[in-house]
Amino acid sequence: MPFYAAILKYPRSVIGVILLVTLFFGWHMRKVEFNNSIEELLPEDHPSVLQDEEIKQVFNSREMILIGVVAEDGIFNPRTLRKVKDLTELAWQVSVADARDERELEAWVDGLDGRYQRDISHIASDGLTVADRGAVNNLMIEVKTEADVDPGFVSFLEELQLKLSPLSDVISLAEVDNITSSDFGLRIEPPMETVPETRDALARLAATTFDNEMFVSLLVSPDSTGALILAELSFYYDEHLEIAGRVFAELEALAERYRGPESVYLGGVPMVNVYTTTYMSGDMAKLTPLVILLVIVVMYMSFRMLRGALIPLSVVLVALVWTVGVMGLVGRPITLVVSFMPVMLIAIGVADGIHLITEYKLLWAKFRDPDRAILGTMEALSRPVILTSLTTMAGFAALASSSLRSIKDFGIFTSVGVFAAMVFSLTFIPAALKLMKPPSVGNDTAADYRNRLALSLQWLGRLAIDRRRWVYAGTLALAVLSGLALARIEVGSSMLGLFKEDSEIIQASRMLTEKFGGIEVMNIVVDTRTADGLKDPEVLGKIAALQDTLESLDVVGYTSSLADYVKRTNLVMNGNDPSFNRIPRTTEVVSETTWVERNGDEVIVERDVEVSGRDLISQYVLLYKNAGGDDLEKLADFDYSKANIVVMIREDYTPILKDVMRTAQTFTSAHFGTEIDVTYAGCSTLCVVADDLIISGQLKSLGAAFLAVLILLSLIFRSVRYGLLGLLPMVLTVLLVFMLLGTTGLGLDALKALIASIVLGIGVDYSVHFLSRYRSLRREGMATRAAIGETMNTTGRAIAFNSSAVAVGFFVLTLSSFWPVIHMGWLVAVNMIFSAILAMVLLPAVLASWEGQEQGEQEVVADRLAIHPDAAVTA
Amino acid sequence: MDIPKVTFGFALLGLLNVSVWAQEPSGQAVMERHRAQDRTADESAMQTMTLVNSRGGERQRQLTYTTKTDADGERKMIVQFLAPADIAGTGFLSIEHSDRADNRWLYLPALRKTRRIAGSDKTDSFVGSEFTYEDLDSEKLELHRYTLTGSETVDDVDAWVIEAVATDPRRLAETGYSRRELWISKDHYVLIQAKYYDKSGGYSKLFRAGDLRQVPGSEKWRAYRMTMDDVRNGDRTVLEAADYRVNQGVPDRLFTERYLRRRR
Repeated sequence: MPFYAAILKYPRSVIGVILLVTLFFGWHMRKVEFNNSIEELLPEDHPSVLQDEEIKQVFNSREMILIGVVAEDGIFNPRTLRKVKDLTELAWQVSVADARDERELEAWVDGLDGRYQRDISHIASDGLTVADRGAVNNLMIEVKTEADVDPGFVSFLEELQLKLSPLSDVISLAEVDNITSSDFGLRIEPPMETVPETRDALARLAATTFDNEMFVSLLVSPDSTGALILAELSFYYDEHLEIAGRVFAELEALAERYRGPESVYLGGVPMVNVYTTTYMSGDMAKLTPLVILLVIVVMYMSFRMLRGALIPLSVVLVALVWTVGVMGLVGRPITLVVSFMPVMLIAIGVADGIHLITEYKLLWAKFRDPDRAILGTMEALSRPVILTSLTTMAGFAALASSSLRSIKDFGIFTSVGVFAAMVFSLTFIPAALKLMKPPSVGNDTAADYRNRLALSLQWLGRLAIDRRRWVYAGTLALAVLSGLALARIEVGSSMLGLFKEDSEIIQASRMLTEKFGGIEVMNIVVDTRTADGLKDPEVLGKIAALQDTLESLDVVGYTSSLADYVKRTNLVMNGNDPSFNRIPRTTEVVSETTWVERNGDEVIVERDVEVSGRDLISQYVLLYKNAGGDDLEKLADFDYSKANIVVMIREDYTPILKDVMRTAQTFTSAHFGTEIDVTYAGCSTLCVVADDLIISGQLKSLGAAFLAVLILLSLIFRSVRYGLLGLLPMVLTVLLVFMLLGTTGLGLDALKALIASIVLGIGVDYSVHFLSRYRSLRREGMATRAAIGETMNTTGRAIAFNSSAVAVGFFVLTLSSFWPVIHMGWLVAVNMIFSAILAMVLLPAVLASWEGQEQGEQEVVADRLAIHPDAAVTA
Repeated sequence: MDIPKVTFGFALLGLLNVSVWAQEPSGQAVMERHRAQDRTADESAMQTMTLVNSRGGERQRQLTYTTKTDADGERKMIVQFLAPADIAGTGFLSIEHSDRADNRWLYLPALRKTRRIAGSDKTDSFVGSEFTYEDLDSEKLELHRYTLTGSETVDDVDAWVIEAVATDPRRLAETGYSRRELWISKDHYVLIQAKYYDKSGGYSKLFRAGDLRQVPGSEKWRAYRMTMDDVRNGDRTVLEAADYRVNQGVPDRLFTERYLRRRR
């Protein structure tokens, strides 16, 4: 084999080249970001995603961070209210520009040969502070007018602007438009401009606050023990994750200063995301070394040779660097779904190395010549290594057919990793073995244990053959049971369900949900498709009724729309008469006092006149805008054709969100005419969409995986029959996965959708190894039963060893901070063992059944395809 | 002392002074000329207000306004909408006070009711446009410091560039701006451009005046087209005026609640 001879001739160059390329990919690893937004999960061009983006643009809406101030004895006291006001004001002042940004700004100055030098040195003179917001804004405007400006400078300035003013709006009792009317006139101002100190003033504030329905459950809890501050980000957080992370840290530091005796909680969708990312990187830092350590221990125990453990390990680590480097190169982020890929790659990637080292030790003991031992090893194993890598890659690559981006990424990048591991196994391992001292032979203390294992495996093989009927009956029963359980699988995910009970974000979210309207937002957009269509009293009335219907659901804590503002204005403009706390009717009767001339004198007369409700609504809106109320921009578009109904939901489990959506759909299809379009947007809608894609993606990717594996197996064995046989244990394993998901009630989510593919991708190797060894033995003239026994003795041991190693690797995932990862860890571990047992029970049974009819075929079977016995574990 | 020399020296100083004056008037002086040209006892016009948003949407309204300014520069203004139909007749009345908050009233024809608006703010948007009530006020020379910073040609009109900063504490408290840059045309002392800087010093709005014409039958020059751009979010308000009338002897009774609710 000239290829391996060349490697043995220049082992240092081979290793050198691999290291150089690894350095290249390692350099690109730094670009990899963590991102867990729902937007990152869904395909960019999915109609719901495009719609959501459009709606965000139209209503200029971005994610909110919720800051809840909770005082169990009530918030209407000067101390707590002062905290609410201070936090509101300080939130406005939050800036996250730091010394790094300053240095970068200065670096730009040096590069701009004097242009803007004056502006920039002025900005940077006393550090980047909130006071520089204006100056940076001006510089930005100036720079943008230049034709030949460096786009890097523009994007730096844009980011700097966001860092200096990361919040575009802060709303609280101290900072919200409240329309009221009194003897002094109409007033639109916050309920709490100054912190009340006297008993009377405190009572007045409480009364004013609860008088406006729009504030209850949003800015103040119904039991008046909590006040909420809503801080809107000035950017889409999934586009500037790093800045978002800094903003949260800053707000958290701010909250910390105001804790005690009040509790201050931070929550909201972006916060959940930040926590996910924090815990996720913590997980990766904790679990990856643990898996590495575990693999070293397991391998050392089996080889009694530290080098034997280190070589396969370095192979997977290098493969990992390449894979993450490729992610950096193509600009894909690490999501929760992708985050445990390192652990998994390590667990499955060492297999090739294990096989190679085992064979090498065997041959070295035989030849006592490193070159011959290495060449012999490669000759015997390069084919099985390539084949099993290909089948594993096929299993994972099939995930690319899913429309969910992180699942797709997981499939593609895991395939890349498996491929890289294969390439190193075949190049780095022979080169490294050549450079190393040969192993010592003869101190194999684990032999006894292995012999016992071999004996039990042979027993298992015999049992499977002798009790074939039982095996088939059991298989059938398993298939039927799985089919039944399949129907019980619930698809559903919850962002908060990711976390453990004692985590900060769960505590905060629970409190915010309990006190206020909820933290999950759904936007229902009502499009009348006519300018000013929203000013139609009938349309607004229906919107209000839809809100009432939704609010009657327990899980809906708060809703808000243009209708609420119109209702409120109607109430206030009619002398706070509660019967006017409603949308104006199509025709309203109002009394008019007017001067009329009577007998040459002007006198006042009062009379009733009919007016149009539509005019009333238009005039209320104008009144509101004239007073500087810009809240309406979030709820109605520029030409008042589209309304945005904001629905806050207390739960974030997708089936519950789906129920809310269904309630709304039932209402709108019954009451809204065909000329009105209703669309759903917001984080919760996207989560519901993602769920549907999980199901279709799961079906597609499993179908694709089965097909790809069947084709590969049929090619490898030159026989569709053997292809189908190889697939059989896999089909059952996958059914078993679903049975477990159904019976444990864990349900299917984006992460658990991977289990079947992982089990399939890894487990298919067992069939390949088993069947190729068996057929090779048969070709050598061994009888069926003897060949099965021998296969169980050799390959069976490899399978047992490999599946336990993978299971142990996945079991490490149960130490994760995330429930789905924990569940996935043990589910894969359990199913890996099942998969191995199924292969070792089903294959012998079926092969034994084929015994009689197979004689003729045997000769035809690919002699040309010399699949060598992988001789995996024969130490 | 050599008297002729001293006299000569003074004369030279005087000459210098005059020549400096000829080229560079003080900011204050320019603004005084501007005020003289701008100030009317009363003024009215019809306006088409076009609101344009950054996504290209447009909404149009028609309104008439009448102002009356007393000797102290305090201005009364009444605005009434003519179109679109659903807001026709809606009116706003504002009475400026130099020593306290302005008084404002609102009339909604669909309610047949006038309401006083309490706690009015100069920084409030004028009927939902990019203009604030502050932007519509007459220039208060005694409340600001004006510095001439140069001279520039804007749209072929030669103009003085003046920086205006509020100095009066009351004004400082109520204004929404840290400073303004004003471009005053050299020929007729009309405000042709202005840049507004928010409280943190950020450039936030751009005012431009065009279609400058002399109001028929008067000495006054007026812009028949004005735009206000929010330079940050790209929104714009365009005011196109027709039928300017100045110094018509408008009676005070126009600026009353009763007149506000008069059906037009």
